[in-house]
Amino acid sequence: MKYTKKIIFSFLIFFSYILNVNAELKIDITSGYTEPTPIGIHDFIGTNDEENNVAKQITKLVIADLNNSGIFKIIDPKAYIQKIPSPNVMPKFSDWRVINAQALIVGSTQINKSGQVRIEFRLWDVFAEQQMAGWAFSTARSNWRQISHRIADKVYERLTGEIGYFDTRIAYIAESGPAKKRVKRLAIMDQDGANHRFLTDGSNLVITPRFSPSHQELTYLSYIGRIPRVYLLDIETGKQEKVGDFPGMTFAPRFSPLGDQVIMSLATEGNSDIYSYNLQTNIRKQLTSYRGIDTSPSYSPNGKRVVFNSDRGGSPQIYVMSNKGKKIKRISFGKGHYSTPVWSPRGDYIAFTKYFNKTFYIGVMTPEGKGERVIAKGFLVEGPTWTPNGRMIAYTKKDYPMKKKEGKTRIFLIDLTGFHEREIITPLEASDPAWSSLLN
Amino acid sequence: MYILRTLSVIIFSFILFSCTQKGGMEDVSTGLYEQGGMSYLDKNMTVPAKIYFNYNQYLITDMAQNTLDIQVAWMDENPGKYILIEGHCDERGTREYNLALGERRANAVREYLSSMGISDGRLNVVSYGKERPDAEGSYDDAWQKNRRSVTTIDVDR
Repeated sequence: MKYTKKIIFSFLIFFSYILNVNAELKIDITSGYTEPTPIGIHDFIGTNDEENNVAKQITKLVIADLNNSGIFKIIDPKAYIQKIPSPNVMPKFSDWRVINAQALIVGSTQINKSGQVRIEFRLWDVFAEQQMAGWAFSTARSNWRQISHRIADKVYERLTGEIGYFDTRIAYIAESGPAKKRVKRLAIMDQDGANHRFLTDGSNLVITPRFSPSHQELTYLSYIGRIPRVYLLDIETGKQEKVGDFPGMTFAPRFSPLGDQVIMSLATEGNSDIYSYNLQTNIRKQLTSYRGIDTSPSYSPNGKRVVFNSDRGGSPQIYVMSNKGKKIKRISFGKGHYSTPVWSPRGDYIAFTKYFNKTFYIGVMTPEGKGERVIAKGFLVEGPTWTPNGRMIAYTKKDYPMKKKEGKTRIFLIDLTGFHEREIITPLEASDPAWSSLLN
Repeated sequence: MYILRTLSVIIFSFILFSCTQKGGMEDVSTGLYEQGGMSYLDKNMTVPAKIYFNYNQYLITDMAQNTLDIQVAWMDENPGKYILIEGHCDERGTREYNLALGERRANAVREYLSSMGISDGRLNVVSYGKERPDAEGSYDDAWQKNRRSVTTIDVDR
C-alpha cells in the first residue's frame, strides 16, 4: 500500500511546440529580486455543473500555488476582458495584453462515464502570441488537489526552466504547551497546508523528522521510554521501528539519496561520532572518530560525499568528507558558529545555520565553502530544508521575546536569493520542517 | 475585596505550612523533591540535584564540584538508588548540536561521580539538548539556568 493513490496519468505533451520566432517568455528566478510576473488564469472550462465544480476547485488551487511562489502574480479574474469558450480556441491576445498578462493559462475539465476526469490545458505566451505548451491528464476525481499542484508545477517549470515543488508534502513538529513541558508531535501536510494530520500523539518527545527519497518514510528522533533513539516511520501504515541497536543516544538522522542508508550521530561517553546504517543489511559503519562533537551529517545528491558539523576546530564549524569518512576538510571560515549543514538536491549549495553576535542566520555556501551568503535572520532561525528543486529553503523561526515572554515558533519559506519570505501556515506552533521530493 | 484578600492569606499560609511539613513536592518521574525552582535528591532538601555550565562548555566548575560532592555523600548513604543524569543546554545552539553538548555535560558529571567512587553500574545519562528548559524566556538569566545537568533517580530501574 503506497501513500500515493494509484493514479494513472496519461501524461503527454499533446501539442507540439510551435517554432519560436519571437523571443520566448522566460522568467529568470536565479538572480535575486524580480517583480512577480503577471499572468492570467482563465477559469477552467466544463460543459456541465459537475465539470464546472471540479474546474472551479482546480483553478483556485493553481492560482494559490502560483501566487504563493512569489514569482507570479495572478491577475484578478474580474479584470479579464475575454471569456474563452474552449481551450481549443485561440485567445484574443490583445484583450490579455491590455491587462498586462504576460502568459495565459486556459484549461478544460471533462468527466467521463467511469468518473475519470480528463484535464487539458494550454499555456500561452501573450506577447509572442504563441502556445508555449499544452498538456492533458486523466485521473480519478478525488485526485483533484494533486492534479492542480501538478498543473502549477508544469507552468512553473515551463516558465522558469526549474522543476516545480507544488506537488509535495511537508513533515514537521507541531508544538504546544509551555516551554518547560512542551508537547511535540510529528505532523504531515501537503505543501499548501491541506490534508494535515498528526502522526504521533505527543506522549513522547519527537524532533527532527526527515523524508526518505521515496517520501514514504520518515526518520527522526523519539524519546520513547525516555531513551532517545533514531526511529523510522512508515507514513501510510504508521509502523514505527528503531533504527539499529546502538549503545547510546542516536540522533540527527538523514537518509542517503538512494534511501538504503540512514546517516546519523551516536553519542557515548561524551563523544558524538557519525555512523551510517544500512537498512537492508543492518550493517553499521563508523565514519568519524574525533573525540568531540561530530553531528548533523547530510549526503551530497550523488551520495559520494557527506557534509557535517564538528567542533574539532574549537567551535562548531562545517566540514565535508567522503562517504567513507576520508578527506575531511573544513569549509566554513566566517565569523561565528556554523551548524546543521544540508546539501542542496541540485548539489550546488549547502544551506546552514549560523550563530553570531546573539543572532541566528540561515545561509548558503558552495560545497567548497565559497560564496557564503546569508538569506534569512532572526532571534532564532535554524534547521534549513530544501524544496526538491533546490530553489527555496524552509526553516524554523522563533520570534524575539516580548516582555520576557517567549516568542512564537513557526516555519518560514524563503527563496535561495533571499527574497519572497513567507510563513507556512500550520494549526499549532511549528518547527523542524522537512520537505518531500515530488510525489509524482 | 476584603474576603478575597483574607482567603488568599489563608491559602498562602496553608501552602507554606504544608511545605514546611512535607518538604518539597516529589516529582515521581525523576524521584526529586521540587521547591521554588530548586530540585533536591532528598526530602529534607539538603542535596541539590542541579549544577550549571558556561556557554558552550561542559567543564565542571568549582561551585558545581561542591554540589556534586554533596551528591556523592548522599549516593553513598543510599546505595540502592540508580542515577540518571540529564544534560541540558540553552537555546543558543542548534537542536542537534545541543543534543551532543547535553550528552557531553551529562557525561562529565557521570565521570566525576565515577571518579569519586560511585559504581558505573549505578550511573546512566540522557541528553535533552535544548528541549526541556528549566526557566522560560529568552534572556541571559533564563539561559544560565538552562545550561545544566540534573542528577535524578532512575525510577525505571
